[in-house]
Amino acid sequence: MSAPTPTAAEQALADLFEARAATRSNGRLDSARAGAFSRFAAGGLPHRRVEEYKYTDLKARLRTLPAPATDADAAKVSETLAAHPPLVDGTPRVVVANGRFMPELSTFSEGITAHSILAFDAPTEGVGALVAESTDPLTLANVGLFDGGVVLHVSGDAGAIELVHVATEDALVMGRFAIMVPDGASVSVTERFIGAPSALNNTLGEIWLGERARADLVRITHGDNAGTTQLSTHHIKIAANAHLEHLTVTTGHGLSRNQIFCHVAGDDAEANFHTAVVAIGQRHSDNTLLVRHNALHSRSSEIFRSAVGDGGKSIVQGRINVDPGAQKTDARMMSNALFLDDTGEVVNKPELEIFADDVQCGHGATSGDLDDEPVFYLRARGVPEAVARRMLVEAFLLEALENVEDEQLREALQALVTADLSRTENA
Amino acid sequence: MLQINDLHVSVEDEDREILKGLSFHLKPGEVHAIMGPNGSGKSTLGNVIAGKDGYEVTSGEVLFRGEDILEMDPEDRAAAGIFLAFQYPIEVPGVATMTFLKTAMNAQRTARGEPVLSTPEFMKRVKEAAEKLGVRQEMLRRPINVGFSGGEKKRNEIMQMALLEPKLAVLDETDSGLDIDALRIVAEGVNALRGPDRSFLVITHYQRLLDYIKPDHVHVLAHGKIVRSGGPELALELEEKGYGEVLEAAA
Repeated sequence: MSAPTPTAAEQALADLFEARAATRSNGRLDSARAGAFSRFAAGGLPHRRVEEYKYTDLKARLRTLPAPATDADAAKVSETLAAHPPLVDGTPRVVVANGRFMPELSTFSEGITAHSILAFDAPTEGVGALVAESTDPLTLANVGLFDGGVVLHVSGDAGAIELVHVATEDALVMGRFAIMVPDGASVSVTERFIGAPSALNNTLGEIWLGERARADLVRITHGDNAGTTQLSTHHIKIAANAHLEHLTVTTGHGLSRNQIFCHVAGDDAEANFHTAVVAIGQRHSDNTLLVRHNALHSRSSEIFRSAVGDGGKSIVQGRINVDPGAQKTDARMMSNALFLDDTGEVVNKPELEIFADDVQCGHGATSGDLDDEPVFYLRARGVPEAVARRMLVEAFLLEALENVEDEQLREALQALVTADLSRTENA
Repeated sequence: MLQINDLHVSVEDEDREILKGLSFHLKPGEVHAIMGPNGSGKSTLGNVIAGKDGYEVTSGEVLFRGEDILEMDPEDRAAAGIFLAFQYPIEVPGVATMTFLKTAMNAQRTARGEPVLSTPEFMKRVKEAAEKLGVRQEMLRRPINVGFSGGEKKRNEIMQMALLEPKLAVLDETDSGLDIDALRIVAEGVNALRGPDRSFLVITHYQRLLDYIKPDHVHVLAHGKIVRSGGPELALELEEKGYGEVLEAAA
């Protein structure tokens, strides 16, 4: 069987890879490009006959691609940053614009050092290790073609920062980052995407937590219009007694695919994943999560909340793998979807693969309309029906935000979700 | 205040009539008790007055201050001055109690053409009402009724009643699940609101609550109809003889 003819989009990616060949160094990350890209090219953009992409056929959806991003104009980046202030006043932020780290526009807190990922070629640094074995097409495409990005090293209790991806043009942007949280250190990172409304982002992040490390990660993928495409992949590894709180918030319009590949590799480690999705109108929101446990007494929870309506679609694929010997694993997954009308669509695909015999694993999924009882309770106290429904939809989604400990950040995220619900109401 | 004439109500989509020609007249300032055995239609009456879906009024009328309310939405009835204290107040996770109270109070005020409450004024009113009814500040910070005991939920209902200042309050088995101390607090809350312009319909299975909230009239509801009406002494008679004997005598 001969390989299928590449689509225009696939051909554009192959041309980009060739065009950049001359600029490559012999460094480790650049050396990895060729291997990754050839593996990507062998399969091309994933389509519906690839099980993991059954509900998000990227080959069909991305027939053509915008032109690759060029170096960002600093004045334009500053302007975009000013229009999107930090969610919590005064939070330092690390800026990656058009896929390139912008140190001159970034601010840092004590306890965080940042370097361009392009400078991280020494094989001892660990960056690249979490994606080396990946077969995920979006990961491979990024590893083969990433424009640049940032490596954040955390020491001590580094506090909160924002990691802001800025697109100054409606271009193909492939930024990459790594967050290294060594033994006993802690950090809170809010990852955001702002700028050009029709940019196509395919970002890749590696997040490593050492022993007893703690990280609170929030990822916000927001689409300004139906042309927005946000592809975001996190590869995470956590060591013994480490604790990760991870939240993804997806609002707005357009296509999003948020991926998490998490390896719970140390005994007594804990990883909790929450996801809040507003999929209203022309949004196709795909949240795909794989958590692998291969240590003793480790815990994870995976909670998804989606509100869908006006033709929007939410896809949740959650998979928990428990390796042989990963005894006393406690892993729980729950996906709840709320239909705002009868035009939304929800796909829930939970999977458990368990090779240890002394574990507690569970999954559940619900989808439906709001319960009548709370609606009546609020109305009987004088709250108009539309307001009552709206309060209950918000409440349903905001429960996914409960694990955000920083109250100011939680309120800012609530405001984001609330604003998205009102925007769609007024549309 | 409330006049019900020959009210017939069925459960929607079922051929089962629950209220079969119920009539009574509750005047301003009066407290009436509706007593009856389980399944007599007591809660249905409260729900129909408040406007809950799922019931079909096949004939009769419910007049509130002279106007038929059966076509009104529940929120419009609330704004007009009707309050139902639920038998089983539900928990509403994710909706903050204070947000809910403020939304409800201001929605009613807006509907009546009154100015909305300022935040300090709102806070002051809630604080006062909460103190009177022994609703702890910590409870106000939680989502509606989440993690409340049965008694706390009932007190929260009466606190909401105090804040919303209805013209007509329907208390649906507010005494169920309350110990004596909680019962006294709830009853004091109700009594504090009694006045010439406010009426209460107290639905209960037991006479106990009526020791604390003295009714002007007692109606016995059985099989969807009022089979006997009388003064407060009727409640005592029921307590003494049981429903069986009283109903038999009425038949």
